[in-house]
Amino acid sequence: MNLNSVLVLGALISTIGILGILLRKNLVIMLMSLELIVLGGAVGLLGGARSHGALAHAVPDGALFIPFIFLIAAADACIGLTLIMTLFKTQKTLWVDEMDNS
Amino acid sequence: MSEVLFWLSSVVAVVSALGIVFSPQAAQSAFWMFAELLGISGIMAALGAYLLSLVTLLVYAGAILVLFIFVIMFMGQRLPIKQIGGLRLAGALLAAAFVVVLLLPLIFSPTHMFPSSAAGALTHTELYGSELFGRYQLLTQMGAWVLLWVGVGAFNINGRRDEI
Repeated sequence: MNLNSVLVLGALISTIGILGILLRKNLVIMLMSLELIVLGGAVGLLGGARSHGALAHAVPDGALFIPFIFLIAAADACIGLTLIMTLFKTQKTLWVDEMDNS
Repeated sequence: MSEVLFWLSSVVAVVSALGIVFSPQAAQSAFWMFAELLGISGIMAALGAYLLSLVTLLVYAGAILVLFIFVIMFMGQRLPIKQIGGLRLAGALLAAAFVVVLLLPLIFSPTHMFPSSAAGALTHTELYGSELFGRYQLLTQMGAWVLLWVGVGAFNINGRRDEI
């Protein structure tokens, strides 16, 4: 459980998220893949914070900024899902291939 | 102990991330997302950030994931009934096991659930609070404003659907 393995794990989760955005055509799954990217970044940041010492009795800035990452993730999920619902009302589909922007 | 927890949770996180991306229906992706959040929470607990692991479960699984599932069910993409019937017993067993695991430390050592600090030193959660409302107070308040205006913006976007 050294710094390298935590960073590789975070990068792996983020890469799977990017893969989801590139491969899937469902808007909700694409938004969930976006959350995966953010979560992978948070894991990497926490690994960096852990490398400065035990987290039980100190709070480095890396661990302190993770609630703000969650805040941004919550905000983009809220706005994204609102936009998806609005798009669904006008386009009647969730698949990006079937949407037309005329 | 934390080493075992870390590797177990990282396997859970990576497998369920693949499950999110490659499951055929959005509803199945949402359930894989719950497993993913459990894995991430376990990773954070193994790294020693106990408050963050609880916040991950509370904020993500309690708020964001419920929002996702609400939207998916609203769009009418639900699991077939037959599939849900097969999963019901497994889900009940999993929930019972989860409750037992949560209750075990309460029964056996109620005072040692979380590592306490030495006398006079601040605990983990107190340190978080003192940093967030001390050095980073402006950032915390700006975050609160962002959440407030996200709510207002979502309300506005959904209200004026004719203009989009």
